[in-house]
Amino acid sequence: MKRISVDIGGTFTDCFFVWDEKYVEAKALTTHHNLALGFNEALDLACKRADLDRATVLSEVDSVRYATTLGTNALIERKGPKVGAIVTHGFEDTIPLSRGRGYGEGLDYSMQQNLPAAERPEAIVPRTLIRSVKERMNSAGKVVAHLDPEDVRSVVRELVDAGAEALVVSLVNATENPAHELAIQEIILDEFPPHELGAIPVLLGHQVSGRKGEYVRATSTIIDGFLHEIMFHALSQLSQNLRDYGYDKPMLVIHNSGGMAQMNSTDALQTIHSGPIAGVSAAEHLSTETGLGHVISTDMGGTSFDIGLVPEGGVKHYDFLPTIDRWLVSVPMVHLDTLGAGGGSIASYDRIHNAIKIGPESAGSNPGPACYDRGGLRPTVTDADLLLGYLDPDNYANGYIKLNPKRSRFAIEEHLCDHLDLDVIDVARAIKDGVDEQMAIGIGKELRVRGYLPEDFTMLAYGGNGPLHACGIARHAGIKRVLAPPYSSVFSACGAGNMRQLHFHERGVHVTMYNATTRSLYDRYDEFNAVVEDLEARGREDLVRQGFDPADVKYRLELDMRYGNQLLTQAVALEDLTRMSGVGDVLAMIKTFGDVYSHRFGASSAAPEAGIRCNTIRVASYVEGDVVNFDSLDGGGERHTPAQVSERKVHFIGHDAPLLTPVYDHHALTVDAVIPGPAIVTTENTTFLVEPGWRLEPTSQGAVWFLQD
Amino acid sequence: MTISSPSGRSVPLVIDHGDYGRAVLLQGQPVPWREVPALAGYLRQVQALLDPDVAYVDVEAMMLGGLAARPELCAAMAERTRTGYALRTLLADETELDLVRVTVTTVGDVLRRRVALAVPSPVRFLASAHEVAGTARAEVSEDNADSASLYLAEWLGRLGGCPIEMVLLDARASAALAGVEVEVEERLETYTALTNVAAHLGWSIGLRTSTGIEFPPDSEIGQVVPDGFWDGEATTLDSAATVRLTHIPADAHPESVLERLPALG
Repeated sequence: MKRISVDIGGTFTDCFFVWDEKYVEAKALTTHHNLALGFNEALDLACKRADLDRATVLSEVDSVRYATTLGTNALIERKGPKVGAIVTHGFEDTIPLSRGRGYGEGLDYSMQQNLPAAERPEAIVPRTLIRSVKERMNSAGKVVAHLDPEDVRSVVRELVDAGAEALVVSLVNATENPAHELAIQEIILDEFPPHELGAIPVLLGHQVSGRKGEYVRATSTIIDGFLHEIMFHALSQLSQNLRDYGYDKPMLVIHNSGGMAQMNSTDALQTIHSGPIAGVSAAEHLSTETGLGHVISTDMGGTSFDIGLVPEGGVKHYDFLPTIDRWLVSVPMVHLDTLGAGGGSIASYDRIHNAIKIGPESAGSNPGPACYDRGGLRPTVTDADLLLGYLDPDNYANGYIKLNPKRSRFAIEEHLCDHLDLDVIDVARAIKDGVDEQMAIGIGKELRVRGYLPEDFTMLAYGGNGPLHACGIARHAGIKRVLAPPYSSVFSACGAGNMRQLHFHERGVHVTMYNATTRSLYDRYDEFNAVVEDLEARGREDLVRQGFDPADVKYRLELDMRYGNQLLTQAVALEDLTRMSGVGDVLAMIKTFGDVYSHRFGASSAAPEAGIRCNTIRVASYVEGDVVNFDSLDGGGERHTPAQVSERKVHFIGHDAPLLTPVYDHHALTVDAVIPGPAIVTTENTTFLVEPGWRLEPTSQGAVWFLQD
Repeated sequence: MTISSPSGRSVPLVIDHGDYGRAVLLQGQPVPWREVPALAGYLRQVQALLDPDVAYVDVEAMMLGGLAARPELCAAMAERTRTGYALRTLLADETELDLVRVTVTTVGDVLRRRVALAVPSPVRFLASAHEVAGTARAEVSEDNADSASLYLAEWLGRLGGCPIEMVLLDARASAALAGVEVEVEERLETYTALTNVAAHLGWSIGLRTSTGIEFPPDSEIGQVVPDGFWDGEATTLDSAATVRLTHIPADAHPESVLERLPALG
């Protein structure tokens, strides 16, 4: 297997490079002005470490996989065309009204409790660019009011005259019958033929999302339309960069569904948050290969802290109505809780509480933390880590970035010390402790809200800053053992290297599995199977288009189910069932749902007497491929303490005076070593901080255990 | 970083054309630094006439020269008297930043040449900003210069996506510096924030002084071709130079300029 996987984050571009049995990790700063430059730099470093050259590598690798924050950034920065929307007559205000709670989407919990004070997000499609056409489908997909082509033509012209540069069409019940959306598309193509300069991109709601609910389908299509052009150009630029250096295969793009695809089978919407999700995939693979059991993955990079849950043997948790930026959308996305807390998170003074507020604003890679000495003027978590002695100014990121403590001190003094009337080291301690606590609270919330306890989980700490803050986070979260996984500094890129081509297709349905009134079970098996077959066909089509043999395509059936008219639906994966052929299959589905529901909400919470319904049928279509092999995480045998290379004074939380702390290099990370805290281990790609009361036990492939004494 | 030479010269040439262009091409009218279409047209003439390898854009003339039209910004710059406040306020102004961003991008697109951004050095920018704000300083300390370099680095970082080839920090004496006691000798090595941001963005960076031009170690070797060259003064061209910078004086004779230009090829 020869493979390059890249995760372009807000601060660093991570590269994981597989060359037969050789696994290499490398990092470079993200170059936002031209992402290809950061990619080339990271790849060159990886090639150097593998003693190869870029041209040879790119001509011989079987795939290059990209996870990128490009779409996320474009959305935040509102870089995109003017989008116009066509909706069903009478539904013109559905998008602006946003279910009456759009103010709160994407805000943190405290802000959601104070919605009147919440700032409404700037609309991607303003009301003036929303037009309606007279048409109507009912919920069964039957035409209630026919579409008038002349009405459509005049609406399209109005939108174009008003400045629309892209059009989205999202009609009511189009998932049941897309005929009208397709007819509108045809009329637009007729009015603005694709070969003409005035051609306008058109996106149809039913193609972006197969789920019922006109609001979320419309926002999903709008975001897709908004990002389409910029993503197309940026990914094409990256792809061209690869071709310039001899890579002649399709570039693969990581999806937030936990899979990946070529560009011709990728919606812009599917790329949002793809990097952190690749990390969750790696955690799942590591857990399966090494028998870790339940895992909570935490990725602390430069900009954010991402928390993912991977229960043992279970399917990853998915969000089917996730919030992207400030918008509720309908796309199957691996569940991830993202906190705005990373190494680059800016620490500012909170006047109301006379305290330090950390994040969500980040210094990113440009200018970066003050200590990067690139004009960053505001203090960040990395500045605090540097002043506390955790980071070596001359060996940060393998010496690639020389840190300047003078800048950190200046930034902290200038912005925080006077307000808080504290010494610079005390402020640095407060920043470190505050960010650790913030992340620990996030972990605790994530576990408990899904019915899990922290002690049943192994915490994985990865990302550039994960191993540095692992002990601190665990201390606050009440966790006693933490694993910094193999290739921890580029673990998400490693996850991208493990992913397989996967596509989700879903359809909103109204299937009453158990009718509580008539006390009967569902029996329209052919109707149910026809939907499943259609969804499988669409998934198969996606994969065949990418060159796969239809015989290699595998499917997994998933249902969104609920008791009676409950608002809450629970996603259920049916591992061994792909068709419904009798009562036994219906009962098996009901039992699986009951088990999942009871685990989450408690044994007595199931309420089958209210009836059981299925709202969505979803099919995951995928192909299997080669994966990265992880070694056993058991060190075994007798351990000894290796020789330190130096020592320095380091400030720790809970210790007033600095402690003389031994410093080790990568040679200390052997499988028979044990490093008692306090200690610092600096390797080419990351820094492991062992706090007092903890010890570090390395295993193979660079993985280490942090264990509380 | 290696500066490209789209003109085909063996050593790329940067031309500070403001004085000469105003006299010869604009018939004494000022260079329209704040009018992007007119500036692009003027620079196209410069390119047709002199074919420099990068388009020279003078930030000092563009920003400080146009502040008379922005009294509210001048007032904001004068709100505090502490050293550096005026510069910090000026560089934080989004309108000015957008002007530079749009100008550089447009010039790059129109001329199909990358841009040499001539920016006042931190000390010079600091003094100029205070003078424009009406809060002129009597002295500039080493710490003042360091802080100014941070403000400038942060500002340059925000031009990350622009087609900039090189940044020329102009540390020569200026009217704003007259009478100001400067406690520090400006050296590129002391401005690590500026060299770091340039390296991150893939730009060359040089410090232009009254005696020459300084680049970071292991990068370009610069030579300043003296004004006299354009009047026929004998000048030895440094064969080791990887980039040449020249200022054409306003009174240079056009025929002489065109005659001497190939000698820099």
